Amino acid sequence: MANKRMTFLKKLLEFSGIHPERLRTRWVSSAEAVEFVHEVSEFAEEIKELGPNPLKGKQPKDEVKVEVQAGIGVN
Amino acid sequence: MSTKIKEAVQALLAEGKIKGFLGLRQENGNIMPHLFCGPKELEHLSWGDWKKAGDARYPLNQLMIRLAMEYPEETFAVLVRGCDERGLKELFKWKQLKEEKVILVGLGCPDELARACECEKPFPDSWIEGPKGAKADSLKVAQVEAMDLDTRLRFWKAEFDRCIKCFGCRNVCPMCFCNQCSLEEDQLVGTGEIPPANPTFHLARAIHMVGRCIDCGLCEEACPAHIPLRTLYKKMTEIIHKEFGYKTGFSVDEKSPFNIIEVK
Amino acid sequence: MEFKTVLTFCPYCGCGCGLLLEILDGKIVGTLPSKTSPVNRGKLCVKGWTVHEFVTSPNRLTQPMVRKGDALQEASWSDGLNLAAARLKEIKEKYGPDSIGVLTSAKCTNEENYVLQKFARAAIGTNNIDHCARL
Repeated sequence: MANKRMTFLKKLLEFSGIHPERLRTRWVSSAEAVEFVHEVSEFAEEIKELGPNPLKGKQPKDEVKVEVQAGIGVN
Repeated sequence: MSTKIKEAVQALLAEGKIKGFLGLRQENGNIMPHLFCGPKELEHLSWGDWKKAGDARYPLNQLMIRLAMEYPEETFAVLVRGCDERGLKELFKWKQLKEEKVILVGLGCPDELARACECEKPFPDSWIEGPKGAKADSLKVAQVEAMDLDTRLRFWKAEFDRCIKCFGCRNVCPMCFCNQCSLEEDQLVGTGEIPPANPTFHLARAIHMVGRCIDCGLCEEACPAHIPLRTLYKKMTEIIHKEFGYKTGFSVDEKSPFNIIEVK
Repeated sequence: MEFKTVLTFCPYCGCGCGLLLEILDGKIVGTLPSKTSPVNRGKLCVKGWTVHEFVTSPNRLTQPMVRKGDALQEASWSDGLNLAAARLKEIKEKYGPDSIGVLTSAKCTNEENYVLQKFARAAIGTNNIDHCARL
């Protein structure tokens, strides 16, 4: 179930403007300490390359307003 | 207005097959949900067309659940458009309603409404009356996908910034039936913040609605801030179709991949 | 059994949004926005959406309450009103009319609000009257 939700969530995040590679799922058991450290470190490096979290802090209010046809002003 | 639905309901009532018909009533220029229990009341039947086709639609499925909880042994009939029928097919699989206790009375939607909704199938299988429109193409999702990642984020952030957390989208949704809503959990969406956690609130809602949203459009119509919710939810429905091959509301047997409800 | 929806108006702010109360067997069980109301056209704010909750809330007072020591105790209407009148008179005589203020509400009718301002200005003799919508 978690896998299904993750697959879905990645696609939804991408549609919302968040890079899907910012979300990662890995199965690691509590006995695999070395693998866990390796996974997390590698992920941290890759994330750094993607840049700071775009959701952090206030976004400048700019004029990007795309008219979604018939979506706004239904009534 | 032709009379096929009215006649069908009259017959159901006369034969004692239903306790009442959950439909819409027009009175003094206003349209509202109503449970019709007698033939005389049917004079005020309405399809929910006020100034334009279908602009006075209501979440009848939600009211049906309320009736079924209070009167679980009774059978009712309910007015359904294409979307409502998709909703009921899902509600049966989510064990919120019993199929044998709900008789569907189907109404088709005109092209004008089908196009505005970009409807997958603007008429129900249980169709009795009304136009049988063609599937309408979706443009809203494509427009967002034409934007690059950064623009998309700015677009959605700006839209969600107008949210006043009225919960209208959730309250009006005919497919929302949870007793405890995650969106009211302080740890997920901090209470006392307007707009609510952006984009957590809306993405959380989308994650919870996947496999249940039938694209009826009532959420967007209930939003006082004109947030293009349908665009987000349409994409969500597209994802579950592309990734899991599941079409919400089309099958009576096949459950959504997120539906693990078992009733012992 | 009977299920119907009844058109009424939100008792909160001055917008006057039309809403439908869902009535099942004579009891209010839910709220829906009225799609055919020109003011709100099918939309409501969070207060409008939860109108049915306060109507049937178990927290609503059903009897006048009078404070005796630290605790609130149920009292009759005449006892409650007599006490309120006596105490207000006492306070007015001792500290003057401007030591009393009257706070009214958008949930009151226009007529009730008229009576309250009359009470404040003519009966008590103060201009200290205000309304929750100004806060």
